[in-house]
Amino acid sequence: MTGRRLVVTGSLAVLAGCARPELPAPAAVAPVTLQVFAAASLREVVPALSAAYSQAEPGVTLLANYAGSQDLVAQVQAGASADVFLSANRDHPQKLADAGLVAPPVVFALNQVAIAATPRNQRVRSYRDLLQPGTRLVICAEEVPAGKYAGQWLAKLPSAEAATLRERVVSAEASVDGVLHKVRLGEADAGLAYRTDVRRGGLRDVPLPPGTAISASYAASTVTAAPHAAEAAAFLTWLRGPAAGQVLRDAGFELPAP
Amino acid sequence: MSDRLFGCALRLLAGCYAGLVALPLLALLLHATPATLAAALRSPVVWQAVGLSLLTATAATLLVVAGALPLAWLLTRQVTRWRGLLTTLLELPAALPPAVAGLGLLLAFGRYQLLGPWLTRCGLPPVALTPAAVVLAQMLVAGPLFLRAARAALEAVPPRVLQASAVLGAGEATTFRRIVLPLARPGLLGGALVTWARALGELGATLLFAGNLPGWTQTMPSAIFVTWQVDRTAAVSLSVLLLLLSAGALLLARRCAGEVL
Repeated sequence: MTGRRLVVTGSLAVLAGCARPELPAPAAVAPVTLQVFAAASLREVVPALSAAYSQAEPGVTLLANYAGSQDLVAQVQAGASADVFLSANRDHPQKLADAGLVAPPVVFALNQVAIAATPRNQRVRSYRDLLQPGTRLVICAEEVPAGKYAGQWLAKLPSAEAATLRERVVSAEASVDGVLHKVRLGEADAGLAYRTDVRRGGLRDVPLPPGTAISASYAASTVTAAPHAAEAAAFLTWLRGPAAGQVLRDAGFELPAP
Repeated sequence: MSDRLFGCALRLLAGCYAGLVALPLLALLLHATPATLAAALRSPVVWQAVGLSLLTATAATLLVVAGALPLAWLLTRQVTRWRGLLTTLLELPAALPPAVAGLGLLLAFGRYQLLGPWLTRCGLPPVALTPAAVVLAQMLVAGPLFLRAARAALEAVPPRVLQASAVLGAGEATTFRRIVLPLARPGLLGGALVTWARALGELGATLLFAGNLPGWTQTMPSAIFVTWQVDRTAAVSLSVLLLLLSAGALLLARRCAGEVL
């Protein structure tokens, strides 16, 4: 699609060039579009980051591609054109870094595993309600970072309760988006997602049992074959600075210790 | 000279297209070794997915036949102004992106959507995120293939034969059972097999409406979709199995239609 658009714009540019040979040459600093591959749970914060960054660097626009981090890994492996990879964990970009496909990942934000309850019914008001027969729970598949964190959370619970919760699971989704979608519609009574997801519209936050908090680390790396390597590196430096930190905190993320 | 050029162009274009179709299939087959296939077949997750796929695709096909065969017959018999519009509407789900079909199913049968509250009042369990949802998704996406095949098969029954049957005193029910069904049988069977193969491959609507849980709603395509990034060998083995099953169904469909293999 982008390719076709490029071809079309390209042809139009050529046509325009033919019609108006006196057209001035493009400005010295051409606007750059950075391709950002971002974990699905960053869907809400990346536009805010993008807006803040366009004030810091007016010549650079962010173009985001959201998916489950494991999908993005596969896309980078397949040679997709990307400048920056923002993963919902550290393992995935580390795997790519070991293969020389991205630079070593740097943690730029932290999140927490959270229980999101549907606004459509009041079935799940506390953690105990999840254990009730008939409760419909959705999580992420274990291939997805959010699914891995969910597994870590279950492992912190008494084993009988963890087994009961596993029986309550009606779907293991391929991304956090899938979990949130099903909880919002009320097809599931609750889902395991991130605190930042629960904060945004409509979902109810159900506190986790004490002592079972699971922290999620978001890691950023520049892609080795990035079309705009210098701009990508500059964006990553900005991402760990105070302006980006404020945007991330506003969205409910925590920041790693400097 | 121009004829030779035409012949060359024909062969070149046909070869390019055939190569485009054959290459991905070949790549999958080359990627799977007998050892990895055997290993995949020993994994319980793969078996659960295969079993669920076979079961749901068969159920979906039978249910489609039960509803779409009468519909095709009615559409064949009754010449109304709305027939073209109606047929287009009924075939639309096959042309839609399956994700749109899945979204439509969620908004129709979801617990808090169009029909859901009424179903709940009738004491029925939720439909979404269950094996029943898998079957409904497959029916919606694959059903139009059977409807189209059934209409072609039924329309091919010569009207003279129907008139003769009526003259000889047979009622509509008898004519349908004794004349129409046997004559249309090859086309109907072929259509059912193609529908089954399409149902087997359904993914987009299933993921949205039925979710993905091994042993509950995870079909072969959803297992491939979820595992391919982390376990490519298992995904390729499942793909090859799916490929063989679909190829078998399509070959059988051609056979039913009386075409040469």
